[in-house]
Parts: sequence; C-alpha cells; structure tokens
Amino acid sequence: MPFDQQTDIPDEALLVLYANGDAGAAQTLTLRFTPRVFAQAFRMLGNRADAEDVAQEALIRLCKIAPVWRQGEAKVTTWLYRVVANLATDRLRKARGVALDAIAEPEDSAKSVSETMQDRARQTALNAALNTLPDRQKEAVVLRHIEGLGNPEIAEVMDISVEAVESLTARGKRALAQALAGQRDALGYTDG
Amino acid sequence: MHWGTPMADKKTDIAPLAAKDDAMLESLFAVAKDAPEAQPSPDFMARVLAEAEALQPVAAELAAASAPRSGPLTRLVAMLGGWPSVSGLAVATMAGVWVGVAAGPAMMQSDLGASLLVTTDETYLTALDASFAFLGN
Repeated sequence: MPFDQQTDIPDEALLVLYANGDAGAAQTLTLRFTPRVFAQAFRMLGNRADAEDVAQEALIRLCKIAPVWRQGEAKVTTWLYRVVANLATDRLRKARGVALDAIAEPEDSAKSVSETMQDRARQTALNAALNTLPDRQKEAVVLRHIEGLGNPEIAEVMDISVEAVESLTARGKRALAQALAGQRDALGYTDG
Repeated sequence: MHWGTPMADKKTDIAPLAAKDDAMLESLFAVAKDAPEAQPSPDFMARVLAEAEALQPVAAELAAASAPRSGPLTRLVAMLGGWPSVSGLAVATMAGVWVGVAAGPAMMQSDLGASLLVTTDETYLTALDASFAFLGN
C-alpha cells in the first residue's frame, strides 16, 4: 500500500499492516509515533540523549508486540504513553541527582532572538521545576498539561483512578507554582 | 464558564491556584508544547525507521510460516484431489451410512434384499467369461 494511503488508517490497523510485512508500514509507524514518544520522554527526562534512548526502546517494543497485538484491548497511544512513562521513571530513579535540566540548542529560528531566549529561559525554568516534583506528580502534570491527554486516559496510562489523577495534577501544579514563584519577574510574568 | 479564578479540585482538599499563578503555568505549558527541543531530530527519526524496518516481519517469511506442513495426512488429501474432494467423499460416505441405517429392515424384506441374501444360486463373474475355462487346465 502506498505511503500516502496509510496516513489515515487507525493505529491498530497500522500495526496489522506492519506485522504483515507491508512495505511502507514501518515508515508510517515511525513518522506517526516517534514525535509524540520522543516529546513525552524529553518532557519527563529533560534532555535529548536520554529521551532518544527511551523513545527508541519504546518504539522497539511496539514493533515487537505488533504481531501479537490484541485488537480492541487498549489504544496504541495509551500503551505507548505507559511504556514511555515507565521507562523514563526507571531512568530518573537510576540517574537521580544528575543534572536533568540541560537543554539542547533551540532549532527554531522563526522567533526573534529575545523571544527565543525568553522561551528557552521559560523552558529551562519549567523543566527545573518539574524535576522537583515526585515522579508520579510529574508524569501526571506532563500528560495532562503538556501532552494534553484527558484524565480518564491518564488514569489508564498510570493505572490509577481519575480522582487520583486529579489529585496528582492539582498537587503538581501547586508545587510548580511554588517552585517558580521567585522567578516570575525574571521569566517575564510581571503583569499577572 | 469562566469566573476569573481556577476551579477548585472537588476531589482533593487542595486550594485552587491564584489566577496569576495559573496563567503563568498555562503560558509555560504552552512554551513546552511548542519547544523545538521536544521534536526528534531527523537523524533520530532515521535510526528509528531503520530499527523498525529491521524488526518488521518479512512477507515471504510470513507466507512460509503459514504454509501447510507436508505430513502423511496432507499428502493423502493431496492425492485425493484436495480438501474439496475429501469433503465430497465424506458427504457421500455419510449419505450411504444413512441410507443403510434408515432403510435397512425394509430393504431386507423386499425382493431386492431377498435376492441378495440367496446363497444357493451363486453366480460368479468367471462363469460369464469363457476365457476363464482355460485357466483351470
């Protein structure tokens, strides 16, 4: 099947195509899932090298499970979010204490230098604040407020109740606000 | 509906954030969503694609794996003309069994059945062919 015909097919059907050896399915799978898997890993880990390791491992697991994927049991994206979260959490626990807020050079040149610098400062500050949160709070906040998942899906990813997700995100946001309170002016939030 | 302050979380005892804190966090989350650092590099995408292609089952292997094994039953079925022929034979056999069971006593009481049971007037095919007469000499 040509690549351009695979862009609209459901995730589970794409896994079937991949498992059947369909030419082009590997490319579609890579293009569809790698950006969001990498982004989630980066937001949880704070550096690109670790994020690449985790994202690659998660996608390898997806490739391996594709031939035995049980249709209709779980969304592919939910499964991936869970795998990435678990891998990232394991890595955080092993590397606790290592500087996690190192940010690579920005690649976006569409903004002005001052805007880019401010965005970078804000990104660095948010990452540093996120890294002060307990792992579960951080995971819930990232999934809810940056990845944009709904609470029921987060509950499924984290294997907890929706109420527990609400509690984690509320506590996480409060902790973030406290961690960032002293940097409000420096980050350009002066008129709140 | 927006009242100017964030809604309290009904499921927790956590007080709602001040509006300015909530606005700051929303702004920071938006920056994080658009952060170019959160986008995978082309090199990384290429590495993942190479991995995905290397791990993908090959269509030829799948076809070989799903091909029927060559056992005695498979060879017998092939000799008889494949499964359609075998299923036809099975149907015919079962039909014969049914005819025998359903019509058995009635058939034996008919003239046809009686003639089949007669043993005194045995007739052999050899008697119909004169050429067999030379075999005994």
